[in-house]
Amino acid sequence: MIESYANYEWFLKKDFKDYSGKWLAIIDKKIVASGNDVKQVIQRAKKDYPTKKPLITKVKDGLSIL
Amino acid sequence: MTLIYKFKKERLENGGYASRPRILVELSGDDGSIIVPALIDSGCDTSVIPEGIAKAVGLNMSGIKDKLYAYREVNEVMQSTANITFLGKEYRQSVKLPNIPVLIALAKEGINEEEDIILGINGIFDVFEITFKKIQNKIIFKKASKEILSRG
Repeated sequence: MIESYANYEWFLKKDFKDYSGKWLAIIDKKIVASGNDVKQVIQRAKKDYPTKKPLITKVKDGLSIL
Repeated sequence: MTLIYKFKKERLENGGYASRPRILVELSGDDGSIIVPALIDSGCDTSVIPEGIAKAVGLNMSGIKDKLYAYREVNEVMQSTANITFLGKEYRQSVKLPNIPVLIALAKEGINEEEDIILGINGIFDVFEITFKKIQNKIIFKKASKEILSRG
């Protein structure tokens, strides 16, 4: 299984209630950066893990229309 | 080629839950790529990418400005393109779609309210037959045959 898919399966199962409204960067099934500014979250993850591709997501806390 | 994704049960601030169709994609631009569990939306004409993510991966930010009409609100957007790879469990299953038309949702000054990437119809629903099976917790992406694609 590719690493990104393993992170996706971990993401699907986890409850991120402590990060409501935040952007997350996930690498190796761990949250390695979080915050309100997605660009900063990506930069932090890439700086700390330059060879990895982070999974980036926002923890949505309300009902939404797509 | 078939790819299978799932809904994610997500907790809401009102105590309830929403199940959202999360599709694992790699978004690539001139400056790099990121992996995103993007939302898929058959009611969205074109895929939408927040400005912060577009800048982080280096999407072209010199396109035509446009407006995106959503429920009771209008957003400023910019036309662009992106390389989007639909990831499977194994590398050989992944499907790369180059130069997909996208709209970059421009950030409002001083406000951090950017949203997730939305995968819309244009350039994606033309390539995949997509089946939602909520009861089985599956979203099935089947790449259309060359014969179907050639009918355009």
